[in-house]
Amino acid sequence: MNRRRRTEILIRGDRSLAEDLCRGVEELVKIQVIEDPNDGLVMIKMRESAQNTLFYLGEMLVTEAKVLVEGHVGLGIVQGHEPELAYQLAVIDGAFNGALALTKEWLKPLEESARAIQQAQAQEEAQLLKTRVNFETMDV
Amino acid sequence: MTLDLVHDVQEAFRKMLSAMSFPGSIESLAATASKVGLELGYHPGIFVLLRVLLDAEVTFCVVGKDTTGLVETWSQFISQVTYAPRAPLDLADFVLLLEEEASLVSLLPRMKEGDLVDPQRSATVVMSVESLVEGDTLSLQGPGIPNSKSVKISGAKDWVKARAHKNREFPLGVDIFLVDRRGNLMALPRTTQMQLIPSGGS
Repeated sequence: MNRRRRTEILIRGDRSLAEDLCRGVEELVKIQVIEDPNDGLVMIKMRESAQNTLFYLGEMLVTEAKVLVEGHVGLGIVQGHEPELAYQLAVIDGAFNGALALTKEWLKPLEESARAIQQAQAQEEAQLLKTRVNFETMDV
Repeated sequence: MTLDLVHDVQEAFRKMLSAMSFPGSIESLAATASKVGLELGYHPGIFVLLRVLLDAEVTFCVVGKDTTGLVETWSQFISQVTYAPRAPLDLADFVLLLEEEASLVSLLPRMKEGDLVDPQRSATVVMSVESLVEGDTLSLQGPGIPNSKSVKISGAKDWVKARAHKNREFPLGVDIFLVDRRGNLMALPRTTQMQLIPSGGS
């Protein structure tokens, strides 16, 4: 599972998963903090569809943290003010970068969380679709 | 607590600015460096400097004798922490000599020195030295120095000439930050002239 997918699952899913995975690492190895969770602003880069050029949509608040897990750098960035989650993401990232043995056991809970996210999304979409209006126009 | 990215970095910036404005003067990064709390392989004061100088918009190159493969490890770490991309020596905005035995002489000719329209597009060197309190004695002259100033920099006699040659055509040239083992900081902008004072007695 790549970093992007894993991060998406950890942020959008049940937050207790990130907490548990992080604690698993902390109980095993010593974590050194390079950067405490801190707030920052990033410019959101987007491509507009008219001429396909890049532009900045605006700035977004993020919380960022960096740790060292057994000599491997772990980085956690998440939208909004979320110091605990940023730290947990960093620890999890560091564990993956260091290919720690326990990360192999993480695939299952991550995929479970992914399914739960999909289910919740499908439910919400079903709710929205109930409000869809059927238009019929007449050609006079 | 770790380094505060606003206040500690700002404090370090002020010291670097002062060191550059008054060449030969010594500032201490020791207090700020003690907050870093990481085993880096080089003085944490240099790490503080790097947090001030490096970000996603500049490039850097770590150079050294590299008998231990540490140069690659250090480069990766610095790039991951500061988001600064790496570049080859002749293109790097910042050239980092983190090993004390790294030879500045052979590297200077290859570094960027800017051009007449954009002299600021030159390399800035961050160099680790053994001591800024003992070593070769030099007399410094130039902007920011009333008359002249006597300083000691260990190992300077190896590179004084090469540096003078690199900086011979003002405004082109290279600026240097020196950090010693105790976290002392000294800066040598390209405008500073250095004269080696041979040690007394023969």
